[in-house]
Amino acid sequence: MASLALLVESAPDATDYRSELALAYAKAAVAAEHHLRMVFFYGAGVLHGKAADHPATQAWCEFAEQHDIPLMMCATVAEQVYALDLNALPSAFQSGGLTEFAMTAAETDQVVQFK
Amino acid sequence: MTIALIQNGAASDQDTWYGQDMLLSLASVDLYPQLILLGAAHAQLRQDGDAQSNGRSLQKRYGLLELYDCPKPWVVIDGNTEAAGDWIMEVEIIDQQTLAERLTDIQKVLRYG
Repeated sequence: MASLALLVESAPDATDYRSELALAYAKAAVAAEHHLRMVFFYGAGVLHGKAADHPATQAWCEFAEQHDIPLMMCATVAEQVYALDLNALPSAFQSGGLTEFAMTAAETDQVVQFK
Repeated sequence: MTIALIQNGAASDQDTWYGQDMLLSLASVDLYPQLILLGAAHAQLRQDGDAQSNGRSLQKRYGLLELYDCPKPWVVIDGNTEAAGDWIMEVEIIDQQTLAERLTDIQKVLRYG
């Protein structure tokens, strides 16, 4: 059983379906009883915080709430690049920073990036 | 545990800055990340290759890697491409074969650009 951190850097409406792919990977990892420590949304991935009613965002929220997995969004990118309101994030998302991701990455066996 | 971050884009690309921010965050928690420069990213560490964003200098920020005791960056160059010269910091020039071999020993690799 491995510990993992996921890094999602693709927007929920991207045509390459990276968000959906990342979620499928996350679900498979949990089903295989790996320990998913965090999913960090960075770059364009923070747009999951803008689209609470997007199916991909809703699917992430449902997955995170079901399995108690932190969905963390890079506050700096969300505010400074995309002007998101961090007080209005979808329910399962929390804002955080790269330092928190880095500390988690230090403690996990694997980091898997989707961009 | 080792972690590497590959930069593959131009200094002016937004993704380059995301990568640098990630690199410095990893360095700040004593992970000693290995910076790897491929393709267009070479220019990021050349003299006259600096870029600015929100008052920040890309090259000055790369200078922080030495303060964090990170290993010197690997610059991947093959063939007859000019390898010598005007780097802003100490780098190690390696070829693709060497990179492939070294990557097998690195557990975590992130890519930007």
